[in-house]
Amino acid sequence: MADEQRQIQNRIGRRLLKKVLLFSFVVTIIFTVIQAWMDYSIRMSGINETIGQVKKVQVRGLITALWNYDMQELAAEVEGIHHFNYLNYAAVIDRGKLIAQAGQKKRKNVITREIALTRDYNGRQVMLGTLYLQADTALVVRDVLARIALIFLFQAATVAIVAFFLLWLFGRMVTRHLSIAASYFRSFNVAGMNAPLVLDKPAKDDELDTLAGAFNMMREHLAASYLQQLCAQQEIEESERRFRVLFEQAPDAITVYDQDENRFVDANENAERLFALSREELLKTGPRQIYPDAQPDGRLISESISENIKLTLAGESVALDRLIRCADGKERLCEVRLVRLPSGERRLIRASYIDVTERRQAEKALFYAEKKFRDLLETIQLIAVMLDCDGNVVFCNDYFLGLTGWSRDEALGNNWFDMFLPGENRETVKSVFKSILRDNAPLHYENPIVTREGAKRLVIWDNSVLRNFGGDVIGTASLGIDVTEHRRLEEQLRQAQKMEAIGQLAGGVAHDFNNILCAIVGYAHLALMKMPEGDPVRGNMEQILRASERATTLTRSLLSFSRKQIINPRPNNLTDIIRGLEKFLSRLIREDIEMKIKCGEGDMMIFADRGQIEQMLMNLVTNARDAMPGGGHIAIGTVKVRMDEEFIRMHGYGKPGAYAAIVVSDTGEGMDAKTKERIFEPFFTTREQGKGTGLGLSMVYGIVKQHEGFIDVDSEQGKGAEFRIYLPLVSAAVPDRQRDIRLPEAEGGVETLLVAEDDEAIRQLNTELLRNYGYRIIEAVDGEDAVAKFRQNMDDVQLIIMDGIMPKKNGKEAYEEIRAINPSVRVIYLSGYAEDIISREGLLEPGTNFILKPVTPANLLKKVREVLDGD
Amino acid sequence: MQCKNRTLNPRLLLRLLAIGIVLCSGSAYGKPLLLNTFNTYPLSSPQGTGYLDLVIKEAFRRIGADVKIVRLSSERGLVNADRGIDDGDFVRIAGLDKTYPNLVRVPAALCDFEFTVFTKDPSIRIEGWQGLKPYNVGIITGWKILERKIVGTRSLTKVGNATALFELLAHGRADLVVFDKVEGDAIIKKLGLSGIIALRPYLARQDMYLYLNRRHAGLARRLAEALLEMKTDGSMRRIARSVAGLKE
Repeated sequence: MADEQRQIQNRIGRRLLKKVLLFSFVVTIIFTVIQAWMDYSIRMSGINETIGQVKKVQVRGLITALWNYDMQELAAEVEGIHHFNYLNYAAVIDRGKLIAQAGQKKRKNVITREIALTRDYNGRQVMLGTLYLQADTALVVRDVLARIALIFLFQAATVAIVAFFLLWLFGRMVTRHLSIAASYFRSFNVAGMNAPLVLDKPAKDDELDTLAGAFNMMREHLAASYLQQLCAQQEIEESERRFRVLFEQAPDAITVYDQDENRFVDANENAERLFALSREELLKTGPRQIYPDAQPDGRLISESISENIKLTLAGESVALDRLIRCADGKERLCEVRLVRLPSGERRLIRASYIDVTERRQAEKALFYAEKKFRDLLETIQLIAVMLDCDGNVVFCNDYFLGLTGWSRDEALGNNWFDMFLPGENRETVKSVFKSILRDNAPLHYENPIVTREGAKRLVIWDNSVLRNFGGDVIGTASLGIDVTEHRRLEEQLRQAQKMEAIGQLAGGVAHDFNNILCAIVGYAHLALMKMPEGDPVRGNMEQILRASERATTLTRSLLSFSRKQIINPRPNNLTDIIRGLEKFLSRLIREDIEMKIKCGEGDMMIFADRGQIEQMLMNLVTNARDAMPGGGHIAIGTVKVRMDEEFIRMHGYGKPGAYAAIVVSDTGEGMDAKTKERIFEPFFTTREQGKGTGLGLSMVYGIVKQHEGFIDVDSEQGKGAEFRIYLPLVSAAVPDRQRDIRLPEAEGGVETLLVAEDDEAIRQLNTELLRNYGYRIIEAVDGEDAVAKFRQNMDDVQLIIMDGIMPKKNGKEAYEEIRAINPSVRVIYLSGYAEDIISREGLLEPGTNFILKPVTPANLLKKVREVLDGD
Repeated sequence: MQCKNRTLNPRLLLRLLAIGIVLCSGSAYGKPLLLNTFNTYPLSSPQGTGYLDLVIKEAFRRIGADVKIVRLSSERGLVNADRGIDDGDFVRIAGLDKTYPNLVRVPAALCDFEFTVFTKDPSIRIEGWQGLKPYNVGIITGWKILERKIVGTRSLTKVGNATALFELLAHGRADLVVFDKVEGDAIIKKLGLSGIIALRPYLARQDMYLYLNRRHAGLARRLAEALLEMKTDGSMRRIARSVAGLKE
């Protein structure tokens, strides 16, 4: 009933009538107002026209009346003016004095005009007064309102009649049919979809028929669509069932999250298992409940979850590792993928979870294992390089980059052979590389590589092939040791060992030869002493002694080389030595050779045997002179040098400290590398047979080494040679370790002496010599014998003359035992070995008396006397 | 050439001052003075041949001034003279300078007026101003004596000029009109009206004067002297004789 009532109220006709009436009323009002405004404007302008008319018509009469002071006329004129439309008041005023007036003067709603009343008189305008007019606008409004009210009434009546007629017409032509259509629509349903809508109308093909036609067409389409939708619905349901199965049986755990409800709205069986929750329980939760706050990426879930939801809803696919918290309290690491589900207005996010806890642990273990090996390779002080099958560098470690000077970006991807191998080795190493790839051999190989600066480094490689999971060879992995320094040191060591061996040999030979010479020289001297003057054999003996002296010189040279020469080092200024020797050196060279000496500024104090240094310089100059048969230049110079680690690394020799460098260079023939290797060897000479002993540079070498110095030579064939000798610098205050011993005049004695010497010839020589000078001699053949003989004669023996190196017990051991028996007994050591050997044997302690063989009888006698007479 | 200080001669200064006053006193010595009048022939005519026209011109001539005479209605003539639009007005009764404070009367009468009642009804007898009350009366606007004296009549119609006044009477719109006897007779004659009579005795007789605007006050005494001189020497009489229709 209420619906019926509402329908009546809402009928189109009534609403149309209301709206037509309302609209017409509003339009009528608007037009009426416009008309009123226009009417008002016209009337107001009519007032102006009236005033203009008064001006035009009435003023003349007024002026005449006023001029003539015809007051009756004037009053009549004013009265006449007052009767003009809307003029409520008219007056003539002369000089403020009211002369005539008509009507009622008002104060409000009036328009006033003043017209000057003038007359031309005697050639000028005479002001007679002013016509004051007042128009009543209220009258205008009143007239306009009256007129408008009338117009409005008529128009409203017209509109109402027309509207009601329209309503009747509309009901007949439209609403009646709409009611029929409404009844049809009310009863319309799927079952009655085939019955068309028919309107009973006399007029055809109007809008209602079009509407009915359109509806019938829609009805037919709807019927067809309904059938299609029915089929589609069945397909959707089938598809839904299929997807549900896929969803439920998916290997991943899947949840569907509704952002608006802030909870999961769906979950599959795997999700139930993963979270250890029933589906009902799971659907009461949301992402914020299943994730613990701390996550593997270091961000709190409370911070990142909104961001990820936002990204996903924006259409991005988000994949990330997340820790999830299961209902049993365990935490599992899952690979989570978030995708927005297309679902109309709903904001749904599908999350799939793959439990990767074990996999990640395995990956982590693998990563750390790989990292361990990678770190090892990166940090190991070996070269580590990996090449692909084309020889391109796919890996190289920091040590390799540091060694070669290339950056990683420059090295990686480049061909190993083109970039890192010297041209002369390239093809050989390529073939080796192919062999490794093919046969996995040779596993060890040695070849040089080139650094960025072009320097060569010798590397020993340990190679292995790299294979993929299928077992195919994909390249090589090589570890290499840079043996450049090692090889150089080896060479130096070899050279040093060679020189040491030669030295030992030379020293040994010289020692033995010295002993022989001792005997020769000693007996020759004894013979010569016993020969009367004028003996014809005396000349022969002197020849023997001269030859022996030359032999002695030879052995001294050998001993110098083998550093077995006794030296007397003391602080010496190298500059003084060179300057003092300058004249002597100039006599050594020929006239076609020019020699220049340039010493460094300041003193260069070295702890050296001046004679040895002089000998060294003489040998070098002589060597240079002989290298320049056609003349040339010799330059001698000194300079202070500080050897540091860099110097040692670059030169391959040295010891940190300050040195005086002596440089002796010539412009001679120079030498090749092979010669250069051997020049310090004794008896090695490039000169003709018999023109040189081959001991000059050997002596130089020995002297330098004996002074704890270093020697280097730089020479090329045809480009001269330059010798550089480095001697340690000392301060001038270094105390003398040894002083020259001035040999006293030969003098005999009566003391008992124990002579211990394993060499019988020398023992007998010395025994005979000393007996000749009055001494009582007890002989011993070795160390043990010496100790035994001393025990037997301990009260008599005042001095022991003992060979330093003897069988059974050496000199020192024997002397130690003797001294244990009698600490005050004195000893003189005799030795053919150099100071270092003697030192090694412990003989050269401070205060030890020592004589180097071969010793002249006079020197031996002087030494014996000196020791016996000493404190 | 040296310039010396000179003091002006006092006598010369007085002469220059007198000339300035004369020049400023009016246009008598340059532009003719404009006098208006409402009088009609034989007292005044547009041609300037009326008695008063000739007297006034002669009087002004005697004081060395020129004069121009214009014709205006009675009231307009007074107002114009008072406001300085015109330089003077004639002829008027004495005492108007009280009503119009800018007017100065020349104290020598030009003539006298006999204010007489004219009517077409010979039966009417008027005794003094009160005798007019029962009648419809017509007068000229601006005739102050009449406007003051004639009150309480059945009706009072004011017209601008003498012609209109007598037309009023002739057409029966007034029972009687009051006007100067001399001029009334002249008008009746001029208009050819008949049946109009002038009642005796006249209502009043007044000496009539010339009024000047105050700015010409300096001329009043001299004009009065000239007019007296004209009376004395018979000039007025000669002028009266020369104007047709005017008795001596």
